[in-house]
Amino acid sequence: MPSVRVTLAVGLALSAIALVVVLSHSPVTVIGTNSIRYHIAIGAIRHPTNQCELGRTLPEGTTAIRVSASANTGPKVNLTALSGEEVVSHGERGAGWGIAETVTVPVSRVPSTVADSRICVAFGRLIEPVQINGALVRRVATNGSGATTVIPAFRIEYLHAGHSSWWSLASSVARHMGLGRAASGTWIVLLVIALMLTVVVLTSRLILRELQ
Amino acid sequence: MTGLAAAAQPAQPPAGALEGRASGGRVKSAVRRTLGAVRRIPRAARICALIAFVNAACWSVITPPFQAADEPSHFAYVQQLAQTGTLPTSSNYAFSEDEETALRDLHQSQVQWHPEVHTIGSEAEQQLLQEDLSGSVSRTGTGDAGVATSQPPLYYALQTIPYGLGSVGTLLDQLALMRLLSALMAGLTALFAYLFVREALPGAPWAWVVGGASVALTPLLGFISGTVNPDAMLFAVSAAIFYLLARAFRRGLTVNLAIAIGVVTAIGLLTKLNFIGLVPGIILALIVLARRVARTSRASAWRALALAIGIPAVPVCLYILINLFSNHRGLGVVSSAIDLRHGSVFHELSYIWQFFLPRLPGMHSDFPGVFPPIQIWFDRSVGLYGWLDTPFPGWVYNLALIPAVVLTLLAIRALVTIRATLRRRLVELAAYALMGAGVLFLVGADSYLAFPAQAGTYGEPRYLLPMLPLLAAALVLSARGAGRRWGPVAGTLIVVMFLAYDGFSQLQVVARFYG
Repeated sequence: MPSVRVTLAVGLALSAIALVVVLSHSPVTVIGTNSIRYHIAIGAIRHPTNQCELGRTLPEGTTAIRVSASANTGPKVNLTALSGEEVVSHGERGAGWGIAETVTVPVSRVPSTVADSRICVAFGRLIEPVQINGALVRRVATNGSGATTVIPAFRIEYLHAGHSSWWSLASSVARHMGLGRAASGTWIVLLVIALMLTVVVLTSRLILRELQ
Repeated sequence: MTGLAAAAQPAQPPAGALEGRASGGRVKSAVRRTLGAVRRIPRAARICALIAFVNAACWSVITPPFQAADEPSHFAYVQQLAQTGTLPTSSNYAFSEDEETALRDLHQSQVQWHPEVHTIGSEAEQQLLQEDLSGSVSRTGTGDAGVATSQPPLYYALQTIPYGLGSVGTLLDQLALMRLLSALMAGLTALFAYLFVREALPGAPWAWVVGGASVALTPLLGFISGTVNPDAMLFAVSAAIFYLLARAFRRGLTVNLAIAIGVVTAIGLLTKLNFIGLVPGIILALIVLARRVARTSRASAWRALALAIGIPAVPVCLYILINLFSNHRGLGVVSSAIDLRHGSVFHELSYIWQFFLPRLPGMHSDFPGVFPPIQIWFDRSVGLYGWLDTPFPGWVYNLALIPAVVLTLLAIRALVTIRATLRRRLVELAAYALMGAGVLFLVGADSYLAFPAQAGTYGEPRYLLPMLPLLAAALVLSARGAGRRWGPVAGTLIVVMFLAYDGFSQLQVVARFYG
């Protein structure tokens, strides 16, 4: 049977390894948009629907798409990116998302840039209206009559993991953390690290003392 | 008295000095008693409290000013109280010039609910913020405190102390100190959670620390208690009442304990209205405890019951009177929450049930396509910070189900092992269950007010944290479920898991706001 001491050491080591792995990844960054401006609550979706919009240029390497929709408890979202009639990427986000004014849907990696993409956002069964945050756009009717209608459109952003790891961004994050607070300065990061280490040491000593 | 007579008297200090010495003695003795009481608290409980405080202090530094749910409103309430000595009068959002300046210069509304927008990131923005806040901006508002307006004043009154201490600096200094007071309350929460499991589950002393330390490291406790929010005090007071009731169930309801329960209940009612959810369970517990006392002394039983219920009744009656005299409904916003005219009673109960539990056959589906126990409560409990706009990546929630299921199975195993004890303590368990159910009912009833236009409002796990002592008990049972041989190892893994979970939650917040 492993001792408490060994279990603690292994647990902390695994946590440290996980930390190194996480920080070796790159943060997600925006690499393109559908050029729709962002305005809050310009419309609402009240029934399950599949709304397709001009996606403009869908960049190669996109791994997630952020749609400017919000709800308290969002429904399931299916997202399909099309090049003409061909599906170039697809993703799904389960129900239950909410509160923030956007929903991010992870999608299969876009293999190559699509110049005039269409993005179709399908919402599952709704328990409350989904708010559209974007802009009103004029669309020409597809029946050839030339008539135009004004519809609310989502702002859509294309995301992918950047090239810089969190490690290489450490100094920038530290500088950023030192702003917008009572005591400004990069030393704030050292304070945070010291506090976190104190928690680790106190917890470890407590475990060794009480559970041995 | 003549001068001669006075000279003949033995040298005596003046009356004022005597009073001063007496009061000094009383203070010293009170300090001695307090220190003695602190020393009697088990060392492990004190360390759990320290961990929770340091952890919440860390969260208070990481979370940007006003980027936590409703913090601008709570700050406005404190400022109104400190600057004018009066309670807020309106739930609008026109705060003082001081606060509005800070919110504007921090780009608060642009960052809130926009995970893609970070906090201010240039020296120029920082300089503008400092200059604007150091200038002659008025700290007196118009009486608006947003969503906080309807809440009772005790937490806010306490917060006027750090607010005052920080008043030589800017609003940001005041906010930082106020957040530290909330962090202290996280320490109390962990302390009482530890003491609760010590009383409620006395069979395996080695396992108590698993409950106390895990609560201390719960990220949501650290996050909320690292901000200005009366929930921080509500969690501490709720943990205290759970502890006192557990102590009374184990050792009997003494007069002192009845007074303590009454005082803590009164504090809870003056802290946040959500505490009302715990009251039916507290009353049930007191009735059961009083009946036990009545077996030996009927008079003692009545005295204890009267004290425990009478003490908190005073502030409640005052609250109702103040509301009635100011032409509000007797129970303020609670009146709306229990308003049954909104729909049928059965539908409201059905909605509340489905809000937390799997839908039963025959119930109309109020959450089509959503499974609230997992997709609202579990997922959001795993991690949703800031203004509920800072989640983990989706796979984390699926991964979290694995340890949750394992811990549940271990806890069930422990419950089966101690089933004979459980049968003996069924009424006590019923009281705790009723306290939990009361909290859920209140949140569900409030959510129902917005239905059907909105569903799932108030689907925020922080509303469940008054039940943290029950989480501590469940984790103690999980460790015990692994058996005496493997229990300490399982307990170590549980605490380390919470430690890692807390650390990664903090990193997620750092990435969202500063990445």
